[in-house]
Amino acid sequence: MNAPRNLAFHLAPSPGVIFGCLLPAPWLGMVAGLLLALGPAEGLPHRFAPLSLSLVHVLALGMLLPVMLGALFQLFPVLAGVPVPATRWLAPWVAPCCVGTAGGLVWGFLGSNPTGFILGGTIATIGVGSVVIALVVAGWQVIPTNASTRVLRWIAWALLVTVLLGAALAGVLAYGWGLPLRSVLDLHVAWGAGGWLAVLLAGVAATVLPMFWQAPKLDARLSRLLPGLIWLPLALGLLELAGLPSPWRPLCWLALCLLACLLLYAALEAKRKHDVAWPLWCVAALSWWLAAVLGLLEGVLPADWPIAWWLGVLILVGGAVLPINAMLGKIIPFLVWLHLRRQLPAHVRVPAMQTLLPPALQWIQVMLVLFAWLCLLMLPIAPARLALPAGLLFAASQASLGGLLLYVLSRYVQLAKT
Amino acid sequence: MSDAITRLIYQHHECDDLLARLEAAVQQRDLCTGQRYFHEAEQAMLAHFELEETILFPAFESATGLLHGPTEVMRDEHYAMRDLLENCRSLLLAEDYAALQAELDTLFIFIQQHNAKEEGVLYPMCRAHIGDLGALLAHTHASCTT
Repeated sequence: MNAPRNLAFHLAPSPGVIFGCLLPAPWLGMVAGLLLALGPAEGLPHRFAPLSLSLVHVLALGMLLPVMLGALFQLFPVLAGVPVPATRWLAPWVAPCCVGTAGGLVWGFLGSNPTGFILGGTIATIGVGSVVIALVVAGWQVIPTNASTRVLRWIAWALLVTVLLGAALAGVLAYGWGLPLRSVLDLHVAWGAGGWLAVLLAGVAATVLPMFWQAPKLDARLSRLLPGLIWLPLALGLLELAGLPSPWRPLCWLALCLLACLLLYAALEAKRKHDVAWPLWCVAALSWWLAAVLGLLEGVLPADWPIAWWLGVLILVGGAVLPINAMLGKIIPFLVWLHLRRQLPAHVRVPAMQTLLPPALQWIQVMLVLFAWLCLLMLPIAPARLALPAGLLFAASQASLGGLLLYVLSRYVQLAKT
Repeated sequence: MSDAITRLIYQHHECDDLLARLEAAVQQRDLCTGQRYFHEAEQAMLAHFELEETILFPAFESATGLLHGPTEVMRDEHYAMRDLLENCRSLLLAEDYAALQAELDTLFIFIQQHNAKEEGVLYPMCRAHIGDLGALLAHTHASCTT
């Protein structure tokens, strides 16, 4: 056992640091929606259509990555008692670096411009890479006691592998590096979606689902499956780069299927089903499960089915945007409540979280994002006609969340002044 | 985890369960059941706080020399929870169900993050630094059984 980690509670980053990573997320989601609505729809819903590739990176890098990194800055000290080194200096750069990387890649994809890939790759390697190094250092000091801390200990490595594989892809596209494009691409996607996104969400869900929705806690024996359950087949996949084939793809889908079942069980067994954000977790778990089943069956399904588009929507929107929307709707009011409690004089009653973010307003946002998810899944029926409404609906859902969170912050500023 | 720590975690779960029952009763506007569960939840929580503040935290502080570390934060959060319980009591008496539901939501989430810190950081530290933790906590009967 290490020395007592008494600094854990004092070194938790200030709310400003966390808000800087979390609050831009819905607005980047809105940008993704507008990009779909107004961008060049040619080639949709093919996975290699410039707009598809751009959307994936705006969502994954611009919207989701800053939230996940911001959450890690908070979770390391709070759950594991280990602050991330240099948080104060790194955190303000997280959102700009992620947006810069996504912007460069969108420029590269939509403009077929190698400079965009070079710009995106450089920002990702330096900016995101610096954060990854800090997370690796912090992870090394974490003593794993449950699913969340076990994930915290190792998660930065998955992001590191994803960034390195992404940088290799950028090198192939910009400089024509002689790497096996298909293998590098598949591994980049698999490490990003499975090794990083699914594992981190599972680790965070193991804490936040019981915390906010009173779901049953993950069994200790099952929690030991993380992150190895997903990472072992992914590590097998890396051997493909050395010319050693293995059945890593179906193994990965099977592992994701198991994780999705656990998530679905937790969501369905939650005691606080009356919370307005609870349906988002159910649909998120269902999305991961559907994605895993589709991935497993891809080889036997008709070749003209838009499997890749559905996988993208199920994993990025259903599996990530929905739970992140649910968490933002809880975490931001909670952090504001905590901060108000520390700032306001003892005799002043701090308003309840539901007073800061009324459930009736949040319910509208939840319905919007669920309809957007459904519309995005149906887009392949008539891509040219459905891109506009699906994109606008998704943009509206994220703008409304962004607006609600700004409303919470404005209440905070207003109350803090009193 | 030692048996003593397991018992403390079990108390957390029992308190959670009582609060969930209370929330359900409030949603159904069932004042009588709500008052019963509120009383049980309050008794259970206050007994648990007392056990920690009078026995566990001093033992930890004495073993580690950390007077202004995690225990100080936990004590402060106990005060906040006492305040929230007091607010809930007033709202229950006033039969202001909407405000009570909102206050219970905050109380519940605040408790959960508090428990996560205790179970993830403080309790493992107690187990590592307090000799014979089981004997220390054995004589107490602060369980919050229903």
